[in-house]
Amino acid sequence: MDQNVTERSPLLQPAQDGLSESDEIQEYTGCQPEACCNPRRPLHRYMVLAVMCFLSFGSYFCYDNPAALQDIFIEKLGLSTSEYSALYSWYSWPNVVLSMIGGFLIDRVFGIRLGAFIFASFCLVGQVVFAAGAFFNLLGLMYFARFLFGIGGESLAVAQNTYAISWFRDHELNMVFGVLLSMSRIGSTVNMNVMQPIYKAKSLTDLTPPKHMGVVLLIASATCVFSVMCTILLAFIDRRAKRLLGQQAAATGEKIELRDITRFPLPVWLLCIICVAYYVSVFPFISLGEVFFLRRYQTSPDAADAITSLPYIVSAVASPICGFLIDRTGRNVLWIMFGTFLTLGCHICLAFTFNLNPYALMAWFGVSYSIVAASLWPLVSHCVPSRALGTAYGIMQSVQNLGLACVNLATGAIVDAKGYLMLEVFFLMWLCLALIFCSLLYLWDLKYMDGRLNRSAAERHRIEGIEKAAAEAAAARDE
Amino acid sequence: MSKFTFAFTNLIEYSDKNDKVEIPTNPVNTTHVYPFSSFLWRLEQAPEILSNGLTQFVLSAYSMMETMAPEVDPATYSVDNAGDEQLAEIFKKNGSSLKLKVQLSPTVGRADDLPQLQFTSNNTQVEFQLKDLFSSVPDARFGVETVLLDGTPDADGMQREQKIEYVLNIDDEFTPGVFRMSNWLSPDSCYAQWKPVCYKAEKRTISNSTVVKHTDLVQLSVGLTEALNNSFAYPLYGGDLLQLTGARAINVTFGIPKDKFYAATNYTVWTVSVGLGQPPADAVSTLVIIVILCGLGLPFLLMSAAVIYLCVRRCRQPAPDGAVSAYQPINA
Repeated sequence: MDQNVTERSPLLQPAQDGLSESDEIQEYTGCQPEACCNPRRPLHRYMVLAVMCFLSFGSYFCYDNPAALQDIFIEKLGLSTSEYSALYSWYSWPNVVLSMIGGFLIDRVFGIRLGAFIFASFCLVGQVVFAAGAFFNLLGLMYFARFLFGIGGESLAVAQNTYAISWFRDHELNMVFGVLLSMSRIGSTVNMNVMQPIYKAKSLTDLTPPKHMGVVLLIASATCVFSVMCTILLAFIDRRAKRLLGQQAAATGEKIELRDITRFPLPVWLLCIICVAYYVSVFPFISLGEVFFLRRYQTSPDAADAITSLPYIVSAVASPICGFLIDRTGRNVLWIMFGTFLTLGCHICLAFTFNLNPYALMAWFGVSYSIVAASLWPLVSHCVPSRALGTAYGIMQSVQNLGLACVNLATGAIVDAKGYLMLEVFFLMWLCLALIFCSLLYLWDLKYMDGRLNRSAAERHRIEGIEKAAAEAAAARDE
Repeated sequence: MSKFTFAFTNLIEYSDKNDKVEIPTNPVNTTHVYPFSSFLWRLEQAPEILSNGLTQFVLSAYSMMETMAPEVDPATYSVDNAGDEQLAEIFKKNGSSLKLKVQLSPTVGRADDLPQLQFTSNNTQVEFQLKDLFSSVPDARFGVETVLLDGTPDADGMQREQKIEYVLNIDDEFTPGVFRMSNWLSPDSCYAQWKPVCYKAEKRTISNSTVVKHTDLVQLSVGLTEALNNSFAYPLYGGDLLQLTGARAINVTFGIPKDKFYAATNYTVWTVSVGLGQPPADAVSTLVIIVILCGLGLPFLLMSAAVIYLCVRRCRQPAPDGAVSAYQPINA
């Protein structure tokens, strides 16, 4: 018995920085004591974060290749506008179902390391086949390639989220999700700025357009190769860390069953609905926004383009910052409500006023989107056990994709028939729905979960420390 | 008795080298001006009353060359008719036309087709359509010069000062994507009203819509006055048009930069409503108000009810359930 323990000292010592006696690394070899190689130290975690960021970079980069090269697809390769849009539909519609399956496969069959590698490889193969389809000018092959790419892309995002929680659950989870969100925007933006210059490179201009496009897309697939290498690197680091810390990949040896999905707690489904209700008022607006700003605010087409891309640019910067703030304060559910209110205010201004600066409004839009995204996704980790994380994220992605696909069809019809004011009211209704479900989540959390989802950061650390110490004491007792 | 005239005076074909949708102010040999008075008109659709109560007829323009027997060599024509050759050029393509569709309504209502301008019993809507017109340069655009003459002097016998004003409206239900109305007024007398939008295809949707711009009001030139004197305006007003009417002209252009010019779709249709009195104003429609009240009002009511319920519950229970009391040591 430790001599410092008296009758009055608490039986369970709260953890400090997550370190406690039984957590000491078994043996020090090589560079392990160094901060950068010690899985317990923040520096190592941040290095892992850097690798994690680039896990999906290839998929985000290549996803928007058609948009960056749109005029070439339509004019040189002779695609009609609907054939071009189908390049995106073949990615999104299958993912209504595939994300869920991918998440389940990660949890049950492949495990996170192999799963990430497999899905990154699907992205790579999809992009290469896409390049081949363009090279030989076969539209059917291009569609099949986007389908393959879609299998990899969305499930890779699920894998990335699962990795993030596995490494950062007790630490800066919100900020990490903010950083990952940022990377998706950065990948897309880099793509938009880089693909046209690559296409115009002198050494390629002699080729016929299909061959030219094929070569350019093949060059783009280098980012997917990079992603695959990141998954391999991350798999090694993860395996090493788990070995050093004495943990297993499937921690308790239990695996998820399909029927576990029906036993997910209500908050998971509430979060799904909030996610859909919020995202359908963001993405469809941005894709339809150009004409809106052109006509209503009388901007030039270039300015309208800049205004509609402003939320993405702002969120690339604001997401990590908002995530950091949310980490410091906790109370995720309140942050979601706050972010939704801000977006609501933004839509109200866009719908009912003419005088406000559209740049300011869209920047405000971007910040509110960052707040909601950085606070919403980490909440899932507090609702489901680790063995079901991939599945839960897969379901959320699936529901989100389904909602977006359906609403995208509806928004086009609404604008054509009844104009933009009706569309804005439509978005406002969805935001109100999100707010209602958010309040339901808040009330449910208060009543049935001891306020676990909405704890402040300090409280969360304290309680999690106590729980961890209790678990270790139980484990020590069992030995 | 009130009388006024709204006239299409010139069709302008110009080469938009800088892609700015501006008619060149200096004379350029790529700018062709086709006076409407040199067109011939046929009644493509006789006046008829449609099922929705509107009276409608369609005029279609053609050039004199069309009436000529094919074997006549245009080169043998005299100089007076040289303009007709140029005019015939724009109608070279098969199926090309310049049409004016005129609609009137005995009652208040709205047109069926976009931009769905309002009818009063005192106005007429004219749809100006350019279809498949030919031009020799690939960057050609078309514009039209229009004139508003007010034949009714005001109470003091003075000419009215015309102006163009823009009315903003948050509701674009009837013309999706368009939030303003252009009103060309001769105050309290007559007006020409249009939404600054024209459509690039027969199927009128937002994606096929583009912008309509116009120049500032200018006084009539001598040539224009001459042309109007040769038109129906003369028997209406007699004598010197400039004296009697505060007439003004504008040039209307269609399209925006980088839209690949008229040749992108070879189609333009623009609707303008002309009438006596005050131009009708668009208000927020009842449907929108109902949807806003139900779609937003109900959720806000629900939220307020939830917040009040929470506050009441909090006030009733000052200490949270299961509060852990401070630990008291057993042996002090």
